[in-house]
Amino acid sequence: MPSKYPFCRLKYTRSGAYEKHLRTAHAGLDIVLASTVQYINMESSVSDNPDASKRPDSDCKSDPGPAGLEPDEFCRDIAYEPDTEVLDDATSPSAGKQIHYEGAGQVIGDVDGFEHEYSTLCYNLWAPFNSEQGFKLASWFIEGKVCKSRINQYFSSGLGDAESVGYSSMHKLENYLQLLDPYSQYLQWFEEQVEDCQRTLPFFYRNVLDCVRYLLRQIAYRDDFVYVLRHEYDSTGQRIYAEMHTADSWWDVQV
Amino acid sequence: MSYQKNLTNFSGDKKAWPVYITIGNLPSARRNSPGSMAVLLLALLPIPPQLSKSSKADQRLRKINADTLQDVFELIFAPLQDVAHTGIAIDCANGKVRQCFPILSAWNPDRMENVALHRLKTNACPKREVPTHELGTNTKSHRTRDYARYQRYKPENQNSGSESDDDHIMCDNLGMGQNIFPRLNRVSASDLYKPDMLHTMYLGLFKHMMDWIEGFLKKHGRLQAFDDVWKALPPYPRFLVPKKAYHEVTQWQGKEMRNLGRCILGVLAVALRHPGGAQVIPFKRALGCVRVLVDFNMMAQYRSHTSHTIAYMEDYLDQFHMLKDIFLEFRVTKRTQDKVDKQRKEIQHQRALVIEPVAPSLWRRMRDDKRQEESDLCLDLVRGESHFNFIKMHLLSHFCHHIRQFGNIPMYSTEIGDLTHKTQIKDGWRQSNKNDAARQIVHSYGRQHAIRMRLLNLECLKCRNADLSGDVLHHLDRTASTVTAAAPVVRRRVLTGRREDVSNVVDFSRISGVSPETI
Repeated sequence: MPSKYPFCRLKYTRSGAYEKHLRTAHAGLDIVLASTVQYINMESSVSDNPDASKRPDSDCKSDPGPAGLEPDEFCRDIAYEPDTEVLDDATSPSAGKQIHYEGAGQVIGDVDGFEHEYSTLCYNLWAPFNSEQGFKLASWFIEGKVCKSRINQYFSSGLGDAESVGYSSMHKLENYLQLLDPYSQYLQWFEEQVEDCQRTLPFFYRNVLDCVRYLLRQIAYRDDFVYVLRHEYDSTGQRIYAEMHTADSWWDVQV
Repeated sequence: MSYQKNLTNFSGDKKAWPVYITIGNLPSARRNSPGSMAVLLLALLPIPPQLSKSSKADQRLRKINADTLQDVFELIFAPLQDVAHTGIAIDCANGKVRQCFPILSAWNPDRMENVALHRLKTNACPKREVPTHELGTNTKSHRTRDYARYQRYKPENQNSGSESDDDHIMCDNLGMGQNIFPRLNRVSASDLYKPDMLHTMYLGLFKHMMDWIEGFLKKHGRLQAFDDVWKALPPYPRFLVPKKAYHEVTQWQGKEMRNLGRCILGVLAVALRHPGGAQVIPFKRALGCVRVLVDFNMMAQYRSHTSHTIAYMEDYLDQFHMLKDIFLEFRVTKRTQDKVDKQRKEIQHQRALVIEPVAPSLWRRMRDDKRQEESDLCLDLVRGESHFNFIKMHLLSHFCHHIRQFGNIPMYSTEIGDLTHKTQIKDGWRQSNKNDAARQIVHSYGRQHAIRMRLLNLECLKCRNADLSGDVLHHLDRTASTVTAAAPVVRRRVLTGRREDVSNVVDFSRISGVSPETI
């Protein structure tokens, strides 16, 4: 054994403490682990061959499965080459070649007034609130689930400085919040009623298409969006199936 | 694009039926993380009243309800009907306009809702026409459900003696279904169903497997050993140490079951060590079966696959179907148990009628022989009557095909929908005055959504180094730290105190015989 800590004797009941112990006492643990795995594998590969009948899955001798798909062998592959593409993130640039669907995700124009919207957001971050404090207070009220009457009480009892935050009641705050989301018209709710046999039930829905528009419009996701579907291959030339855009069905529905 | 839908209970009889929507253009990791806000509430549906099964009037009502529900779905999804072919120009986040073809591609309800909506039989596969008695086999030869065909047979149902009677009867046996989105273009109803890790694996097969294992251990007298090892499991990063024996826990969550999948094989191997003479083969088979299922589950959790890993999954599934017979005798239904009891009584009755004079020296051996014979007969009966033909067993066979068609499996799990319930529905319900709650739920979440979305957008601007002033950056830093980093730290501190108290108790009962080497 190359390490002086092949099996640590210390015991921990908390995972945090154990993690810390691993970080501090076994800083070179990767090397240790790799070597122990090799060691164990060597042992098992030696012992496997003569008495394979002793292994728990040896009952199915009649159908040994496809050649070269022995589970142990697979584990060993991973242990020896921890950087195999199978375990890699498929989206990493090192993941071998990619084939893109031609013509997908083509840009057909620019959004009217996008630059204006973008710059408004950059220079007037807390709009429609007039100050950061106003936004922060509103966010605190809403995230803290303070009820309407309490918010009104807060201002009426003089605790809050209505002038610096820009609103003095829940009613005004709600108006601001409606303006806060520039695309809130996409998320409008519609109400309909269902005539059941015994009673009438209301139900609420949004426009599906507008929901899609809303999500596609958010700046927060702009770096993550995938517009072009592709086939990804790992370094050995095998196709990777990971996200929806790398799988077959998206290719099949293309017109 | 994918949709999720679940029925959720608030308290007592109060229910909500939300439908969520999200888009597939976002990578699954981003889309499914609760902080990313990418799952929008699409609708709050009316809940049809519960009707009894017996009376004919109620059956008619149920039919009307189902039709109404279909109308509601048609109303909601009407905007998608034409754009699937013609496309529509949509503004994108980077300031460009693209021609988009929004298509409904997934519909992830839990099992019983799928059954109710598609009007399938409880034991029918939503994807393929598999007869009930073949659910337990690893069959792939059956044809895909064609919901349009069922629609055609519907009118013929009324006038008997139509030309395609045989085909019709066959359809009826397999359970006809109904497409709930008949008007949506380029959407195939059988493809809408997506495998669900939470209900199929964790709360489905793992739970069944634990039942079998318990029966198996009880039969071989190893239950105590199993419980001892189970409670003495050492801690490991991201592994929850079980504090109770398996049978003491009344309800299991998906997270706990996932945890169980990590340790069950090791625990079972230790519990079954040093087998007696006749036990060697059954122990080996049981371990092999559990191992293959755990391996299959592990591979199904992968976020990316190659044809190599899919081949492994298929191989594991084949092996599982080959080895599962060792647990067959523990799938005893009540009816089988009754039959077994009846048979046993009959045998004893017959034996009482035939009285043979036996020498006292032979009496004991005769009695043992008879007992052996009796239990063998019972076991044969149990093996003959029991089967693995339940739906979750069959659903596993769709996993591999699904990966090739739609990508990895965990991203379609219903866990995501369940998580969204908490923030979008249940919190709103608690805040409301319970009077006309749906409206209040919708509005109260809308407020939160606006604020969080603005913060997310600002965060994104910060990452792209847009011109932001100093106090903005400061605020963002602070909000980010309170949202992500600070909360877990505090929680961990609270837990330490409690966990240490418990650990003493665990240590006390820890058995000394198990050393890490044996595991």
